Amino acid sequence: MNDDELKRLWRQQNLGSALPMPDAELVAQMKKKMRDFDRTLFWRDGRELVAGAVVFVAFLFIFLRSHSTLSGAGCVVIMASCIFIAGELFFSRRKHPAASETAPLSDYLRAELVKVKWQAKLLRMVWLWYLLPLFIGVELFELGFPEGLAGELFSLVFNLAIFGVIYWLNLYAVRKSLLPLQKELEDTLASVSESSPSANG
Amino acid sequence: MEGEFLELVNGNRQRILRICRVYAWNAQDEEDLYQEILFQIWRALPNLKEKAHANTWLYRVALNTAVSFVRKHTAARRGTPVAHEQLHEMLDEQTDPPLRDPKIDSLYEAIAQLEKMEKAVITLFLEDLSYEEMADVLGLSSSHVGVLLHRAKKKLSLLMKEETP
Repeated sequence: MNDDELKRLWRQQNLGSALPMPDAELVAQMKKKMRDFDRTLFWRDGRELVAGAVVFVAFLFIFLRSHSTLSGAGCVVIMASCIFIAGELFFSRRKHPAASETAPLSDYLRAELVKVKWQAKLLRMVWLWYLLPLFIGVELFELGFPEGLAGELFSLVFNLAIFGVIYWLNLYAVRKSLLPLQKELEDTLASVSESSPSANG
Repeated sequence: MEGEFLELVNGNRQRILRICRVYAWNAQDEEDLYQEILFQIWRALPNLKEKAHANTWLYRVALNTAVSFVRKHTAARRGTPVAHEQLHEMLDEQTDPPLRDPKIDSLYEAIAQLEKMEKAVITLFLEDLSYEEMADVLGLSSSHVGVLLHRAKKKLSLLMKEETP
């Protein structure tokens, strides 16, 4: 079959009866989807900020009533961590916004790949920018309440376990979803570069 | 904006449906992808500056959405490639049998076996876009598109020969 025959065959398809949709219904559906989409973004960003703000306010309250220097220092570290984490998330979103659906395919794939790599790096380094500052803050805060060596050791081990599990969950997310996604994007982009004229001599 | 959107979608419904059929695994996915493409068109429509290039713009949005859709759904389907019989069932469900040319089935089956970029370029070729338009949609040079298309057509021809008894 030659090119023209293939094209003719392609255009001959009758898909007219598939997925019928009245016009008014279609517009209403799009408007609803757009509202849902905006709402999802709003709540996702809101959740992160509210969680940080709640922790910040709680520890500010404790700080103002704290009589222990160590606990006070712990509160300050936790509050600073909340600001830093919120800043990091904000910076990440601004630096790597969602790839534009209207961009050419290869640019779109490249932008998606950069974004996925950045997210993977962010999760792999979560111990540094998220867990460590909070852990230091929590430990300092707890040291301000003398519980005896056994109690302090117990809380240290408990906190280590909690933070360790959070770290492991982040690494699991990288391995389970981000790395396969990255591989898939790299393969697709590779299929473009493999066929470049220079690669083919 | 509503009028513009409806005009664009109604004028290109067949094109969008053909892209959905190329990238979807089954009838349900096809419908989901169709909805997703319409949503992305709706979202991106305010960015459409030059109406003269509405066609290439629409293909770009549709292809990017389809590629994203496939990527999101691939993980769940990893290890379960679409059987040819399944594809036949899908085509049987959606097209009136008297109107369908059996060659179309083998064409879709052959396209389904191409690599992602080859699939994109062959779809645009069948949609009768020029090399320049394909290059614009894909973000490649025209010569690059030429190489990619040559490889895709070669594969397609071999696959269709295999399909034909």
